[in-house]
Amino acid sequence: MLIKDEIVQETCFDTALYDAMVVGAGIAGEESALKLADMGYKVLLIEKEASIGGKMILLSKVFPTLDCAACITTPKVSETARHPNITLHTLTEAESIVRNADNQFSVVLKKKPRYVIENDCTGCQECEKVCPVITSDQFQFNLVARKAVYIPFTIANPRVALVDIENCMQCGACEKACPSSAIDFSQEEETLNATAKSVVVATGFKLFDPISIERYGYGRYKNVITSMQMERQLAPTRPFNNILRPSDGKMPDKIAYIFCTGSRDHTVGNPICSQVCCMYSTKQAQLLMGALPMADVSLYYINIRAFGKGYNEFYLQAKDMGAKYVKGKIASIREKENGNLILRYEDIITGTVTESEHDLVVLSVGLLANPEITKVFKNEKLETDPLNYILQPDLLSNPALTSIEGVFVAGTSTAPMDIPDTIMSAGAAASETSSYLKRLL
Amino acid sequence: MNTPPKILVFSTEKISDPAVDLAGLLKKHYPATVYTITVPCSSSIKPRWLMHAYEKGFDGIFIAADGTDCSFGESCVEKTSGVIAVTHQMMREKGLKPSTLKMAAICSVCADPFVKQITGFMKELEKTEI
Repeated sequence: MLIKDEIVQETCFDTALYDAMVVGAGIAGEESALKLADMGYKVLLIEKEASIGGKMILLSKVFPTLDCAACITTPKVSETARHPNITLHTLTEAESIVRNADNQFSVVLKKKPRYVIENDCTGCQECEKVCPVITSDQFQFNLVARKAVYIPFTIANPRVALVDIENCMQCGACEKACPSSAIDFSQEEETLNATAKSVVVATGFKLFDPISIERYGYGRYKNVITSMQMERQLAPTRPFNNILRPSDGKMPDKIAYIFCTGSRDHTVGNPICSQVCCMYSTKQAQLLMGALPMADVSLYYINIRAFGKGYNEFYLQAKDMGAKYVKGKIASIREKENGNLILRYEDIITGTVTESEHDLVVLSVGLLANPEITKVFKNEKLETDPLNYILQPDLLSNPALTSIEGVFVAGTSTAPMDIPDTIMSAGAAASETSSYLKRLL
Repeated sequence: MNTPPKILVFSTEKISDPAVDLAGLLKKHYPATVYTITVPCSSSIKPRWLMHAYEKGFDGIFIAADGTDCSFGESCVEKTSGVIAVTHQMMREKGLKPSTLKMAAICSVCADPFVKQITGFMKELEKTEI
């Protein structure tokens, strides 16, 4: 019996030492983790959300191939979740990362309670049926509602429910309905300790919140939505199974896109190009013309930046399909009584100030840095660039390196980028990490 | 035949089952005589299970496989095809039509393709019955 206990203890100790810790399980984190795990390294993957998959799993299609985003990402997601070399913790954030005397990183993690026993939950959603609380669904970008106990989204992984304790009224209905008694309100925040020889930062980006640009009326006018809300309406796991405008549920006829919302804009503190908004708006325009054949789609732009492989052809294709590209920045939007919106802008080609009426306006929001991870490194400084993205000191020859030896960076943590570039960057980070780990031996 | 044919669907936990689920969530119509069993990976299905289903009165079996996307191994498609080949042989021996066992790759959000496949299969089965 004693021998058995000793073995268990030793195994626990061993599992706490990892070759690499990957922070963030979006497409970049998954790709890096999978590449490293396939090379035989033990990887600890942490994700702050309840499901892995990041933002890509919520998208409709990818440009310029129009492949289904979820179809590409779900196999990767399930491979990540079940890979024998990957230990995955969801609802977990790093609290501190400290380089220790062995030149490794001592990591303290905080795992938020799910209030559902992960191993017991079968994902049957019986709890959702009985929960009386209705609140907005953040994974559908507040277009629809969800319950206080919920599975994040249809293709979430792990497919395990969680309780949104802030909105829960603790009526206990879910506890009674759960056939496997998996609801456990006694769960508390856990502190986990681990040691990793290297760290890959793949914390991604934040979306710009257009509420700060008052002239666009986001938050005040119901029919002004963000591109991510449109993305959800176009996705296979869409909430309405149709394209509807929020104010009255009508199918829109005249849709406007406003490019560069919160990017290339000094007034909001983000002077750089978001790299993706021209192309995702063009993609959405093509999808909209397919979903609503009678609708007119106008796209108001400053410059079209179709820089990648096949991008310009994709843009020309949208134009051929009938998308109307208008060069001009929107000065203001006002709302009519019927919910339609009047856009005032200077048409740069004709040089005239013009107004046009649309029944739905989509703001093509930009990408912002997500620098919170920098605070976690306690005895070394993870440098950032002036726009708060992780600094790449050797951008041209070793783009995955950071200011800390043994810490690598992948994907949009370094700058805005599209999905193909993110995957390439994640691959680069994995190979750089592997080369570092080899040198440690 | 008055009652519509009964179809048993084998879906996979992570990839094709979410699509079957999504078809319901999006209120897509497909016959009510379609029953689903979820397995981790389609290559783990045994020919004797399929034969058992026919014995129990199912008119058709549809395997919603992962295709090359399977996270359990790259040989999933070959293995599942092997299972189907063996079952086809067993079906011939028992005098059953091999066309009543069908397989297609269904992705995690392929709700439309699933409905299309299953309604097409249902029509084929109805013709076979006549």
